Amino acid sequence: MSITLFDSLVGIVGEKNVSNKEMDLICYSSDIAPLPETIVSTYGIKMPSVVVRPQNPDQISAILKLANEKSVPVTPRAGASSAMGGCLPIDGGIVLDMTSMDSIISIDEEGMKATAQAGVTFQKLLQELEKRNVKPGTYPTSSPSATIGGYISNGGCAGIGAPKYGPISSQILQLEVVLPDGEILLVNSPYSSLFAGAEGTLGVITQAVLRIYPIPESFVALAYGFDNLTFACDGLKKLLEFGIMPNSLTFMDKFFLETICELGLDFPKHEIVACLTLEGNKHLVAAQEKAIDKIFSGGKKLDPAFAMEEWNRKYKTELLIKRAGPTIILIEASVPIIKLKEAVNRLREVNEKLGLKASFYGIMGYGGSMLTMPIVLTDERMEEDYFNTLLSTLKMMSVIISTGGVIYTVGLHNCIFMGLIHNEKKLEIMKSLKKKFDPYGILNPGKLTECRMAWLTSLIK
Amino acid sequence: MSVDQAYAELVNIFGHKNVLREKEEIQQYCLDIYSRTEQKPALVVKPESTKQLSRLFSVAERYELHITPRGSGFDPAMGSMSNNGIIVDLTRLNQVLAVDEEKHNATVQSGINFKSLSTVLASKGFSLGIEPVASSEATIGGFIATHGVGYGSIEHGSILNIVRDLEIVLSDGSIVQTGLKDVPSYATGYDLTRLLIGSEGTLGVITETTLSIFPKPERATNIAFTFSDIKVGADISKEISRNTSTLSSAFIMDGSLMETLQTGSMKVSHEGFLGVLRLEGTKEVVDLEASFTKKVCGSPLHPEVGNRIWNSRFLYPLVKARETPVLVDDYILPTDKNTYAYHKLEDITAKYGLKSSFYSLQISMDSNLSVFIFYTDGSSEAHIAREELESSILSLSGKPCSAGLRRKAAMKKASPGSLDLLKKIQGVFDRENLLNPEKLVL
Repeated sequence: MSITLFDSLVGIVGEKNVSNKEMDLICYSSDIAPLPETIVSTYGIKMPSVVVRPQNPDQISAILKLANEKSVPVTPRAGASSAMGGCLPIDGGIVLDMTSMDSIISIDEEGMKATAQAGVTFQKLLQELEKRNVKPGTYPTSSPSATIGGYISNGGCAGIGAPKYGPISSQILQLEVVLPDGEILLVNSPYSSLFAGAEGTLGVITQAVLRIYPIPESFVALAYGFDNLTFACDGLKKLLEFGIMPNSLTFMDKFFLETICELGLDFPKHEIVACLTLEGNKHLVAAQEKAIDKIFSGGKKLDPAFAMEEWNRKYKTELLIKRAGPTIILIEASVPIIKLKEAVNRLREVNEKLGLKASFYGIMGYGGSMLTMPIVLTDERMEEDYFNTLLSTLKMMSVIISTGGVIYTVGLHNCIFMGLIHNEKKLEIMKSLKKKFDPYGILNPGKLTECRMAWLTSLIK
Repeated sequence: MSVDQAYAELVNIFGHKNVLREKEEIQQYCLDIYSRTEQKPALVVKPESTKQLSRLFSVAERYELHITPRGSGFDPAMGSMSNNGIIVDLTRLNQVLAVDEEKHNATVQSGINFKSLSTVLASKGFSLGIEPVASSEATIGGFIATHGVGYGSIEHGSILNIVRDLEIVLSDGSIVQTGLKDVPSYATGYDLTRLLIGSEGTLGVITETTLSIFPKPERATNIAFTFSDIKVGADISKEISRNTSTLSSAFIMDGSLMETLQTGSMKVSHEGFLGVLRLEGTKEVVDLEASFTKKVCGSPLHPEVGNRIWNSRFLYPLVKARETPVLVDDYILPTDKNTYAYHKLEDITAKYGLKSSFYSLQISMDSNLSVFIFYTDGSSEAHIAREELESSILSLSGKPCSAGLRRKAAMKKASPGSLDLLKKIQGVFDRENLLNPEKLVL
């Protein structure tokens, strides 16, 4: 790398906030889903040449201006808790580590809003809000590491609170964004929606004003076991019909439950287990629980202690399975709940043909959707096996899309599906927007509007 | 001269009866519902299909005529007016295309008004969730284009949360579906649907939309009460919205608006203010919360009065009943600033010796949609008063509900970054710079 780039960056953020140590560069070249070396080289993923930890938007503005001048790619990164490769610096260059910008600026319980820097984790935000008897609306199950900026950038619309409070994009009152040309903008709702789900390709989110809510009077955790997929899915459909929006709902299938039990944990044994939480005032929660007991009468109400345990494990359950791995490949898709049964059945059929065993884990999202995650165990050290498994999961995604589902975040791995989901004109507008904001293509290249993996499409047909 | 040629070409596309140019034909398009200022469009076209509409743009471009989409003209900021351009009257695109009772959504053309749509939905046991304050004759398309909030917003937020998908026509004539009908698309690339919401006809013409619909609540209860001090009403509203789960609308109006409600057996005369709280949900919960609400209100009016007021909740008919010319402005205000804003209105009204009305609807836990009305005989005082009020409200962190033509500067002051962003985006959508170029984006 050029000495001058390093020196210029030191000039902007100070020596202690720039690193080109090999160890750092390696750490910053993957997200929570490590990729085998062959995949890295087949995908052409480069190592970054330098990692920068900006402290404020002015520094980011200066970095982006420099990057334009020197034609160096910049990839924003925060908690790196998405497994879709969105924060991989595939063309090398600068990784912009946002985690130093982690101050909560203000909590306004009167005006019901909180202002926080993009690098604040949801866990930290939750802790601080809780002290004042308020809470955020929607937050991810990866809250210990996921940041506000990262979740917004990934268009979070499934997670805790999502069915009730909506996508994170609906809770944004204002965003501070640094555009690729270095301009710093304060954008209010609804126009801020452009940056929600833009995955750091149109600008770097540096601060957000989010709507907050009072901690409700009453909270209850419930769990139901179903011995038949149809009963479970019918129950979920009915829940929508009645317009009952839980605070959170997760579902696990028997393969998931079995795998976890094999690890020595005591989970109930059913075809499907659904865990949900309700919140609100006393009588609403009581009335909803009563209604849900009736709606889920096709299943068995499980011990409330298990439901509560599961709630307390909310950040961990989906990762427990990783222990059985050593590596997991998961796909994340939004599936309309009314199509859930069909999607799961079709996936199981396909998996049988492919000789794959996928465990299903789901988190209810906004608007009658279920973030559905079929998880396949593999070993990244056995490269051929890994590659074949990866191809199979891509086939699974195609099946989900043909059943009416969509990808949940594009990142690097899901680019190939954009053409299956969106019409050509829409994709063209997305490309033009990218071009308009980032004419030299320096910000998070190779993602979202730009697909480098087109060759994969022929392999998954 | 060129207008004549444009007219002839447009008649070929839209038919004789759907292209207007004569003075008496276009008279109703020279004003919006409240405006005192006239603007005359060169032509008005009334498309009957999206395809037909898409053919307008190349003609408009050739004759250098700007295009202004228009619903029912309820924007108080002259957003649906055009100076020598073409107004596209979308009210012929008023069909319900599909109601999917299983997926809980409805696909409709953008020119349908709330009244017609809710009638269709009600017949199938559904409702739309939110409704505009001005009139049930406002169109869905206009509500989307101005990022509408209204009755039901406490529960559902703005129209942003209801819209699942849009069909738009761009100025190159292409027809684009912006979202996905059946599944949320917030994490599948840029959210073009939400980008169009609040774009006030500067990016594309909205022709169709798929909206979330909601099962009609099992029980709906309206509780009306009166109070002398606006602060008391605000506190009651706040207490109820923080302690109930079924509050879907809460609005207050001052005595002068109440006067127009004095019809027939309905007597709600009061020196101070009238408040209405509407609870919606399951019988059990609504009934429980209604008794709590009544206790907090002190002495609620007869239940029948609550229902009557709810049925005449739309503001435009109330204002129109006064038969006096009006100047109307609507703002989104933080709830804790709403009381100041009202006192400001009182001060300014007294200072200029005018008459005024105040209406305010809670739209979330912490914000209100407040409408300020000056009654005027056409004197310049009312205009000065309005401007003075506007600058007070902006300093109270208020934001105009739409920018249109008249409130561009106010919008720019309230959210400068947002407009800079729109300006950047505009060229991507409207390459020919045909759509409402004099609006919203300065």
